[in-house]
Amino acid sequence: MPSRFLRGIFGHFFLRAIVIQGALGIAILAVVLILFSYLSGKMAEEQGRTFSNSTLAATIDSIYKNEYGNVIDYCMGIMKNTPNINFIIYSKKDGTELLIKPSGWTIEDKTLGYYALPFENEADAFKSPFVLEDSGNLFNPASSYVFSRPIVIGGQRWGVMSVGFSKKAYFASILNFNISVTVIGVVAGLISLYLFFFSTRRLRTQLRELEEVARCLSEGQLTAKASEVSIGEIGVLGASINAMSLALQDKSDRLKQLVRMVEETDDAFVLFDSTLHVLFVNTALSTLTGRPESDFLGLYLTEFITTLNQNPKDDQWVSHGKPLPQGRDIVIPRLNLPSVHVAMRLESVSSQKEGGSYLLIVLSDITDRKRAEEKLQLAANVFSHAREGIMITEPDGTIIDVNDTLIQDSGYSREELLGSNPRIFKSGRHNRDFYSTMWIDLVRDGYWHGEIWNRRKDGEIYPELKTISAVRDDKGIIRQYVSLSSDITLQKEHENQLVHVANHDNLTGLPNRALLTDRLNQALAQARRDKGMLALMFLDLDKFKSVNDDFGHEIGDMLLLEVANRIQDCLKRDADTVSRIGGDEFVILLPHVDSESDATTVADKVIAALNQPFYIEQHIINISSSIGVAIYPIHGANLHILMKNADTAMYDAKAAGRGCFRFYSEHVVKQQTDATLRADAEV
Amino acid sequence: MLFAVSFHQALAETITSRNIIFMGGSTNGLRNTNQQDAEITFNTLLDDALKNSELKLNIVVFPTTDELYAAFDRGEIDGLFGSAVEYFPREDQLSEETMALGFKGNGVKQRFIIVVRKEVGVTQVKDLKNKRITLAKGQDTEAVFLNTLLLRQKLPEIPGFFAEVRDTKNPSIALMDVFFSKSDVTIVRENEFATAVELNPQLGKKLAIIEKSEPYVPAMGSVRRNLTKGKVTELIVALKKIYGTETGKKVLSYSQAVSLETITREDKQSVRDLLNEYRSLKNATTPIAEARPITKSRVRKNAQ
Repeated sequence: MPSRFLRGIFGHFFLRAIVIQGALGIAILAVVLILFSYLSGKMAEEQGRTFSNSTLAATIDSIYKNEYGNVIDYCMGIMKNTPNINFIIYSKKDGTELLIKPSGWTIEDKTLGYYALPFENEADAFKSPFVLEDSGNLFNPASSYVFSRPIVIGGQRWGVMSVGFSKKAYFASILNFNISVTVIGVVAGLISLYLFFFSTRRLRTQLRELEEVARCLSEGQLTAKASEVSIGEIGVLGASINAMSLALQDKSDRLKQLVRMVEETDDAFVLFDSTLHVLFVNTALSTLTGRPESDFLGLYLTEFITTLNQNPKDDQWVSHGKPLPQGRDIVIPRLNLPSVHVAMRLESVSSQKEGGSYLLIVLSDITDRKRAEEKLQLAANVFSHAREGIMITEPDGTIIDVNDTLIQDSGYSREELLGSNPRIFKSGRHNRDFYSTMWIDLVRDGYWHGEIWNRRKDGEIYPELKTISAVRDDKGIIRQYVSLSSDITLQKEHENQLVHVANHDNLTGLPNRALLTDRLNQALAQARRDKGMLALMFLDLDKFKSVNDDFGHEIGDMLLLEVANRIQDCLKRDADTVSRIGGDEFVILLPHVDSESDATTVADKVIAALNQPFYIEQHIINISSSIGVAIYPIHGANLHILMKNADTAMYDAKAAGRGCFRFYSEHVVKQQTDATLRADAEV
Repeated sequence: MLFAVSFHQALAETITSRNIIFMGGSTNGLRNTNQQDAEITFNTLLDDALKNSELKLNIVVFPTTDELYAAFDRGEIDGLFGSAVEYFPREDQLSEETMALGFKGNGVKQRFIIVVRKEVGVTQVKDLKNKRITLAKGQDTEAVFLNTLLLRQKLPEIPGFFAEVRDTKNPSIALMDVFFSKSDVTIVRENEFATAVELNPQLGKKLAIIEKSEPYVPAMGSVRRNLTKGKVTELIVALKKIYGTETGKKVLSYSQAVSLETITREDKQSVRDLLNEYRSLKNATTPIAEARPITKSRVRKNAQ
């Protein structure tokens, strides 16, 4: 039988049942003993009556004849075959007593005293008088029941016959009874054990299953399930265990999630026990400090603080019993690694198990945040101190921030700008298409860059070089627009100056050949579109070389400057252009002429104006001019032909005596060509 | 009786065909027991002892010595056992391999003692004249011894010498008869007297021994000479085996014996001499077989 069974709940019940059964058995035995003692007396009484009757019947004759040898022989023979007879005594009334035992016999004289026994009912002939003495304890095998009866011969009392019955037989009976009861009890117990063991097999199997489930749960196998279809309370217990398992599983899952969070979080967790020694650290601490976790376990709080290269004096609350501080930001230097900014937070965690509290220090890496803050600070500085005007708007254009430069450039205050729309800067110089293009570029490309004319609060219009960028979120949705603008008024002026220098004559300020070419092309294009006419005049000063030779180049230059002024004075239209293309050569462009006469009028006026004396530095200088005129489209369809033909016409005027003008003419040209050929042949 | 004869004839026929040996005895040779008890007790013991043997031994007890002799003479039994007085008349037909009871401290031999009550005041056998004597059943040899003593002194034999001869079942009662003054003298074996005194020391104080015999083998038994030695040996082994058991010892204790032993011719010589002396004192021509002056029936007859 497995001792496991006896150690188990059934062994518990079984052993107690055995104890109860044994106690009941002992109680029953006690009752039986009392009853048995009573019945033993009755049995001894009956045996004594029977034995004495038979023995007396066999020996009465010998007694009568005093043949005691026969009596003794008979009695000893009887006692040999009747082991429970301890002795037989024949007590004669005179006091002589014959004591017969299995071991021998003797004659006694008034020493045993049985001869003097009184008997009840002795006088009653219908009753057998006797005396039964109990010599002692039933359990003493040496003790006896003594049955005595009178011996009457011939109506006279001869004496007394006493028979001693060993209690051994009775004792043996009760002993056998006890042994039987004990054996039966033991056998019954064993049978009960077997039947109990057999009949509880299913119950034990179910309990073992429960035990197995409990073991699995204790080992963390929370998916173990107990059978709920079991006997009585075991099924209920199984259901309860399953419910407990589910609850544990739920808590375990949450705990695992928590542990995973603690393990996977970037924040370092350091748990101190109630004695402020490090109990647990997560891997983030190792990542954060660059040191293995084992360096921290078991450290006292101040040692831990020191390990982080911090001054433990900053944490004197530890030894002074002060409340936990809120925490602070610290910088942890690391070996061979850049330092990290860490936010240290302290929490008190109560322990349900031990009733005390733990200290939890959470170290969060705020390096990135710090850097971001620095960047923000830098950005703020840039924003505040940038030379460019910066404006940030909502996607709908509402201004949400501007920097000081913009405020200065625009002349508006911050309060006036915030909440307003950039339309307040609109100068009116740009049409609707300009702004449409700008917005299309912004939406499509995310930025727009260009020059724009805006208007200051005081109404002044000024140019700006502006960059507008769309700020999008992670989803690509535009959250803000940032505009950077620079006032380029001075730059524009400078550029204009450069353009002017490049397109005008230094001395006279008149358009030079490049500008003339540009304007001539424009005028030609316009004339082609309008099917109109233009006039191009080549003007050359007559005898100007002698002025330089006579009065010097400075006087010559001053003369040229005065010539330019007189020519410009002759032109009344803004579209007309006077250009100095070389030393004393000027070109006059007259767009939009209706006929050659318009050119003739201008040519006459110029010739007349230049024929007037020039008063320069106390010098009176008289010069004349020769003008060649070419009319588009009569004298040429493009710039080069017109220029060439005008120049040809100018030489025709010189040839004609100077101080006059000539329209381009083909036969004149033929004459000039023939004259040139002849001169070449004479040479 | 007719039944008994037919039974014994059947037994005789069986002997030749089977390995069954019948040993006969008489009630004269039994002390402290009767014919039926003796047969049942002995045969049960023998069956058990020989259950694994092809040889079987049966005990047959006859009421008288004469019937014992008759059965032996007819060949119905293969051997006999009994007192020396019963044994010797058929000694010449019996094997030398003789067995006898062994007594504690005395071997196979016992002395006969003549016991008187002290208060009688007798110290010599001759002074017992007209006294009362008690003799127990089976005391044939003791009676031969007492008669021889009387005849040596030219005195009459027991019936004529004593005033009364009482017959009792056993020597113990005979001694108690003397003790309780129912008689004046008795003759018992030495071990029987010692046992009686052991049972009641008062006997030793009140009784006195006035004569002792030399040691005799009081009883013995043997099988016919024509039995093979192998059977005899097997028989002896079986008998000794019986008396090695608890039941056998109990049966032996009835005769105050402790063993069953093989005796020699020399062991039997003293009792043979006693019987021869008695025969010669009484009548020189009387064969030893007739030296049985005292038998139970005769005692009763003489006593009456």
